[in-house]
Amino acid sequence: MMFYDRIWWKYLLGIWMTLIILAAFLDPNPAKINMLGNTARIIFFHVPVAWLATLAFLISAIYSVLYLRKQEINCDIWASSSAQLGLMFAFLATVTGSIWAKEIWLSYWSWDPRQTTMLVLLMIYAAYFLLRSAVENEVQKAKLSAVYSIIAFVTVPFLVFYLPRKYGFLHPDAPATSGSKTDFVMDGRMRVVFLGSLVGFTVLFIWLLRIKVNSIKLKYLFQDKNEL
Amino acid sequence: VKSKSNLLGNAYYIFLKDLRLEFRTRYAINAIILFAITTLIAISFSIGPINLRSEVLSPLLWIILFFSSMSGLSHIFVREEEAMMGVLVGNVSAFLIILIIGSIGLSSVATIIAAIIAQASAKGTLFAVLAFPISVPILISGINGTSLAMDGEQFSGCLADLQILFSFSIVIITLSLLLFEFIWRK
Repeated sequence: MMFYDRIWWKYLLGIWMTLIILAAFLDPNPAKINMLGNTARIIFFHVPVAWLATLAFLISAIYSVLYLRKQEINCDIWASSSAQLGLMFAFLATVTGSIWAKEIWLSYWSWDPRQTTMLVLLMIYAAYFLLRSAVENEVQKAKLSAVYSIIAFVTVPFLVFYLPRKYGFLHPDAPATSGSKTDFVMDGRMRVVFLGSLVGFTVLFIWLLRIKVNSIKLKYLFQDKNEL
Repeated sequence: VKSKSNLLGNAYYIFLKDLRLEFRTRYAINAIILFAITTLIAISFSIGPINLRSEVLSPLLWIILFFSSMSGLSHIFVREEEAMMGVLVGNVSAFLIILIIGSIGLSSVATIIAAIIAQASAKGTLFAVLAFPISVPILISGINGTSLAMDGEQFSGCLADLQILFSFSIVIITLSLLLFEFIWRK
């Protein structure tokens, strides 16, 4: 019975995400009220994925600070796992955006400030893993990558929020944040689906992060067993 | 607990030591002069007599700045900018301020990354790979700002770029001060 108690929310998440996907593709409104037409449906997937990338980098930075304070390898496992997931979600955001751009801007890649800064973000966190692979000593690796992760995260506000808006881009944005040349409008039902998607993706992210952390912990456990 | 004046004083002594060392060996000076002449010739040769627009000249200037700072020749920019750009700049004061704050930002990023790399076991090309993406906010706003200043834009027009450069540099320097002891503590 314990088993079912613990995984009920995973079934709930499965049903939840199925409903979100159905609503995202079947609701006729997104295509009608936006000048982006049917491609407006990307907002239900692209934006949550980009949001998760930012969240994952934030969590990585927080655990890096915790590592520097406590010097526990556990914090380093959380920080690196979160950065890895963040890199994956940033990559997904870039790819989904690129597919959308082919439809609207007629080119997969046009060096829009939003695309460029996202690419730089990918490079920053790819360098994080390069740094990790370049250090052999475990303690040293955890310490240096924690410092780098904190420095990397301070570029996120500049790269994600400030620079693209300052240098004017074609990337659609909410009307409240001026600077974009294309306003994105949502009606009530779209907003519900969008927020539901954000919640669903965030729970999915927490699930993924726990699996990642547990698998690394298991690896450490087996390594220790073998050494003994 | 270190006081602020003590920290600045120590930094000043290290700066003096480095300066004397460089003048004694003359290695860095020679390297700088050679680097300046090489880049100047390469770029002047490729540009030729054509008058390039500031949108092209400004990235060129920052590419030189970036690579000279990455190869530890950060003080090269003074010579470089006098030789290449002096004639073309519209708003000189804004241009100089952007260059100075931008190179402070570049060198602060370079310093903290170099401190991290110094502790890593495999160094090699790691430095440029780590330092380049982090310094992109400086490069983007620096390029935009100097381009505006070359076209003779008013100081207020360059203010937004200066704000990014300034805030980014301050954030990096503050973080470096806070994090440095963790990097070098055994």
